[in-house]
Amino acid sequence: MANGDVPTPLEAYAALPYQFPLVETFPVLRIPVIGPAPYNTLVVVRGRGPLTQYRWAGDDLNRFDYIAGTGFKLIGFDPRVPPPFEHSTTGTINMIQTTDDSAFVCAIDDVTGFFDAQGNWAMAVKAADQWDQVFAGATANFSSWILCYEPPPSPDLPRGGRRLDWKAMASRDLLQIPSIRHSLAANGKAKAVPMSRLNHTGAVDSNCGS
Amino acid sequence: MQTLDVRDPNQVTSVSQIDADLGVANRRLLVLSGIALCNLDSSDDDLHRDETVVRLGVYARNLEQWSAFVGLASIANDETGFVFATDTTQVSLDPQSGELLLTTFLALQGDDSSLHRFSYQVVVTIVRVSPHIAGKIRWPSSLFRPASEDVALVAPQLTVMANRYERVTPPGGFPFDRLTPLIPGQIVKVDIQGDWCEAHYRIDNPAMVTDLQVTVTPGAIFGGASGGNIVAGQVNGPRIFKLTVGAPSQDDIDFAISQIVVR
Repeated sequence: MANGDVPTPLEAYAALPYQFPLVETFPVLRIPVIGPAPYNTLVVVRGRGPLTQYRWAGDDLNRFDYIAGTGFKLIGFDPRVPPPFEHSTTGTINMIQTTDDSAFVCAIDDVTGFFDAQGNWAMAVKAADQWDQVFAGATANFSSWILCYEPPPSPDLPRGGRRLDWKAMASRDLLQIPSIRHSLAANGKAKAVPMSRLNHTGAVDSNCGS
Repeated sequence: MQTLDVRDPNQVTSVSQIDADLGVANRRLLVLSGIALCNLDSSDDDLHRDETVVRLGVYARNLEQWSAFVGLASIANDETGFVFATDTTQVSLDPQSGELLLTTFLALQGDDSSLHRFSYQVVVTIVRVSPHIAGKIRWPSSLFRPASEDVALVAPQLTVMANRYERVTPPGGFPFDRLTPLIPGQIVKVDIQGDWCEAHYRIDNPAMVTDLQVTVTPGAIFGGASGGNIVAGQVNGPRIFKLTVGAPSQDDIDFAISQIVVR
């Protein structure tokens, strides 16, 4: 282990029996609506986040809060002006696993959604877990419906080009991160879909699985 | 079976709701989310099943389409074989009140196991019921004559409230009426006609299938320095009534303000 007896989150992840995908993107669905004012858009977006902290568990009930990012960025966001919005957000356990018999608690206690300082939609999660001395993992699905206002595109906006499939790019690029390749190879799982701790931009997410 | 209510934070948390206008004949798209505290426990090896109803706090005349997503939110087990399940789920309307209900069947097994919470997200298209109470408040202008028919001059002087009505009989005591304030009303129009003034009020979205009584409390401006007690008495409409999905509104609950002078 990298740090004495304390496994890194990546080592804990690599020790789990199910190497769940850590790179997942979710579509952002925009539905035009006529109201209530001032809203003109109904957005549906999902996200995923951890329900364990990916460490060698030690019997203690562990409460933790974190922010789960999504792929929804409010068009026309101005950081000087708080955007009006209404939302309906929830989260559920979608995966749970352990390396051995263990008493456990796995909980989403509270979840809500908000626009961060850059206009990205995110979910604030209060979670808790408790495990005996095992490696354990659990994740949650989050879902938000958001009423918001987005200005229509200007007719003068230049158009063209094509969109990139960054999900495929991110998966490929992850394999180039030395620490990930090393850990997976050490566990004989080099072909597993990688990755630990990536947020929706493909960068390492300090909120996920730390 | 247990029933949980989104209006009680000890029963449902993380409650959030949106209501979008679909632009077609009063049809609305609603998304209702929350985490229900079902708190099921098992302390044996039997499989336990439970039906949980979540009262969603939205009233509709017609439930046209629905889609419900339910999943586990908080589970615990004491190192035994276990089952945690959210099974069949459906959304319906309470036949009496028209309130949206989410019914979920749960299953639990384990010695010990707990299913503390489940999450839900319900998407529905409905034709909303918009319950209301309305009426008039009339008084002689000698008690208070506003400078104009501007609602803003009168509204601060009249407190209109829809109250829950209960007839309470304490053990060994005399029965009495208990009124619990639920939702205030708004003054929507003022008329001044000769020696009389009249304010029209409206209370939107009062509680359904609940015994209600409307009260009006005049402000200190009524009566001025003339002395005596200023009272508002109901002069028209039922004193106690109940709104239902078939009769979601009650109009013509009228009041008169007068001065009582004891000599």
